[in-house]
Amino acid sequence: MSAAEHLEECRNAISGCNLVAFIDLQASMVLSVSAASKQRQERLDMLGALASDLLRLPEDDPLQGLPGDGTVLPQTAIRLSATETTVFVRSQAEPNEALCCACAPDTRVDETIAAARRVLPDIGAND
Amino acid sequence: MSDNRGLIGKLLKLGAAEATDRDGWRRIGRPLDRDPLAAVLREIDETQLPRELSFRNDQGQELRVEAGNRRLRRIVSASVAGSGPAGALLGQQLVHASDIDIDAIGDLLRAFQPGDREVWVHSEQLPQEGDRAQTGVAAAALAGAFSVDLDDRTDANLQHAFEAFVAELNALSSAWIRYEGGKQAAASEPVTDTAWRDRWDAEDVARFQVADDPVGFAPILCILGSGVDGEPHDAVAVLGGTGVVWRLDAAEVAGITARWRDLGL
Repeated sequence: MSAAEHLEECRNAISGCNLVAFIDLQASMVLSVSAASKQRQERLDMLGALASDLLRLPEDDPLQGLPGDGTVLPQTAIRLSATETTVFVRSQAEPNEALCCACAPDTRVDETIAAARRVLPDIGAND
Repeated sequence: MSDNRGLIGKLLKLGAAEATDRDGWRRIGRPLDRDPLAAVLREIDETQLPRELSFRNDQGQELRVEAGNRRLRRIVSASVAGSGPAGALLGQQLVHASDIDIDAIGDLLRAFQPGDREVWVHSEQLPQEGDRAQTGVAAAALAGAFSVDLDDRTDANLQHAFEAFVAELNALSSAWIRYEGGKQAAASEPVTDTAWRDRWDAEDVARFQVADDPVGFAPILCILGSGVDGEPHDAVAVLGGTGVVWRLDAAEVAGITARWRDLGL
């Protein structure tokens, strides 16, 4: 399967998921996307920047991390707005990559994280 | 970490203001409705004198109606209009509520989807009417028919729900810091983890708010960590000019997000 097919499979596996994007955190860039409808570039740019901002890399800010001494990077970022639940999951194999799942407000975050973690190794293997 | 606190203070103050006008169009929702239909109906409900209301979203969908005396008088045009009862309703004067197909009205008014980030309205005055004051369908009646709560997302309700959430997470956390207007307003005592404390200043908290919503400031909750229940996480919640950050040593991530939604945030 191609990366795009893995993304689509992941989107279909998550109830209420509108978009799944594979993101390069260092470049703040969406590399591949599966979405229920055509997405404007501004939205993809925003998601790339948001992922990079929330899942900062050590070289960006040595103090930024979790928990305690600031040496552990956040592996997930869950963002709840009035209209959307957005889950960002960092790749275990390649910390510079992450998956973004933009879902309906009432989407279950634990199931979304699990689905993203299942598919991330397969997408990385396609690099 | 930050030496730009003056700027972030201004941003936070701007967040508390009504920054929603654009070329004669006004963004509706207080601040953003989960269901845009509530914002559309509330706009009709707040229209006393006869006016033509034009709604549009950032995807290009449009809805144009005539309203007055807090009633929907006519649906002039709608992007979602098709054939059948809804299409036949377009342009018709709505006179007696009992003669009107409410479901068809609902089909036309639902021009916008819950995921739409921005819905804007433009209002134009219509000539004064004679004996039409009681014609049309009351917005409140439509809200009842569509199970929409017009008061669901008022600023006061949002603020109340936000403070309830803050109180609950304060109790669950091992440390918290509250920022208001770009300055630290309160903190748990003592915040012994200085590395954690230094990591979260006003700018770090505010960036969660301004990251993708520079026009309106809806409540935002972010949880950072492993994503696994029972492990340490940091959480940040912002609304208007207030931001709170928590250190959660054994977070129940799914439970926290569910609670945020349960409170209507």
